[in-house]
Amino acid sequence: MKKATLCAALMLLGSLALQAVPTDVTYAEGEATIKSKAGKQQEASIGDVMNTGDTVRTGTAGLVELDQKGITLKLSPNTVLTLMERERGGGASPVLSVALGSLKLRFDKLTGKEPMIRTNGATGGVRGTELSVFSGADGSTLFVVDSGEVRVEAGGESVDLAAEEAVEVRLGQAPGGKFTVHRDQVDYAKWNEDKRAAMLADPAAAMTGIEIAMASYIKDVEQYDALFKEYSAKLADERAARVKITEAKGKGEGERYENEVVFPLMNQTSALGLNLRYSTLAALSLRRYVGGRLYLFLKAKYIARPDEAEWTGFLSRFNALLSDFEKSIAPHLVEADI
Amino acid sequence: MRARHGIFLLAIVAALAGILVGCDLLGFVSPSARVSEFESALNSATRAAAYQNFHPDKTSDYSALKDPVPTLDPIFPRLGTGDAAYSLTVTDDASPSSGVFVTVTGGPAGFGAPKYLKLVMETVGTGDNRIVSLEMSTTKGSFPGPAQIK
Repeated sequence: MKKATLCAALMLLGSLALQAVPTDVTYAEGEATIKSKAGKQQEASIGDVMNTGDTVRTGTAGLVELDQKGITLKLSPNTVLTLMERERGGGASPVLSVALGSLKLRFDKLTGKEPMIRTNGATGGVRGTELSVFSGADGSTLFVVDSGEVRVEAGGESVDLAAEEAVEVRLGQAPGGKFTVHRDQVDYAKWNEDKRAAMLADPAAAMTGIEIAMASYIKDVEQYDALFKEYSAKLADERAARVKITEAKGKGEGERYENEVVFPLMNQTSALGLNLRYSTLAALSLRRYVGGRLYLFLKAKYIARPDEAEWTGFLSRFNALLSDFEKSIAPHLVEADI
Repeated sequence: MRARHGIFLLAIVAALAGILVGCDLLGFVSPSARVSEFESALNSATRAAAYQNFHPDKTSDYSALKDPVPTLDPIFPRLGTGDAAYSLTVTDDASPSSGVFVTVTGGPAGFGAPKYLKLVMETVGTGDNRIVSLEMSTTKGSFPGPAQIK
């Protein structure tokens, strides 16, 4: 993302319509846990209420159904879903972050305020009423639309899907070609197993996708962080200017300056924290659910052959990725994230 | 005589209860006590404990608040040498779930006190009031939104 684009987006932030969307657990079966934003973990039960920052995770035989004010979310086994928010169009917008697994969404009606869907490698803007998102072990994503439309964005390109259309996005790449499919024709377990097998067959290619995606998140985090510092300094300057105006022109002029200049700038600066955190958590998800799993798969594969070139080559690149993560992302994480 | 003993005992129990509640020994934190604790956190050097005044489940920004630099500092600039400490005075705490209203004085000159806060609170457990959202205004009684922290 270009800095100019970020600046332009920020200038649109007159104020943030900050509205958290509570999400009710309407069904839970098998192993299913909720981790709150404070780091507390509990078994998911019918009647639980989730809020922004909370994560629900299903186990091998776990199923969870959620209701988010007119949106029904069905999580399949081995799925990790986090409720997030980011700034969009001058307001804080809900984001459904599918780090791993399969999520089916059904909208009772479209209001124009549908949540954005993100996976490790793509985002989807929803204008449809029924769709499924599959987030694979290698970071690939499969969007399948049953009805309505969905715009999928990745790698700076987008593709619009209509009913019974699907697209696959490989990590670090633009969306592939769309194809016709019915949701019931997709066997997520097989699709995910194919992804995992392909990842292990060519770990170097998988690592390249992870590196590209991580570099993109690190760039976003660094730009938001730099902008936050820039806006903080600007805010301090404007506050000092207001003091001088009050002294020179009286309290009324000072208050006018406060309301017209200082307060909007304060809200913009605060909003940067929201997007900084969004990008930080996206990078953490990539490291944890794609990079970390690839590491474990390969470690198991080469446990008796630690000197094999494929393993040592991967390890070298993985350590470089961790080093970049520690330098650029870790300082923005808090204990509860880990 | 027995009536006088009864009154005496009641007075002792009431005094003990007051001490326990005031010291939060029962886990009870009134809206005013919460505002007082938040004021202390704002005036502390690191603000590291400020997030503990917020509701862990209902404040969306709860995790982010553990780092006060990008969250609290833009709203309440840090105190410099010679600055008066922030002073938070509760003006209305009749309905914490609708908003505890607070006047803020003090702070650095750039903060431009007085400022006015609407702190929506909800309890954790039986009576531990925590802040769910914080909205600041330059005009007393006018809170058109949005909340700066929620």
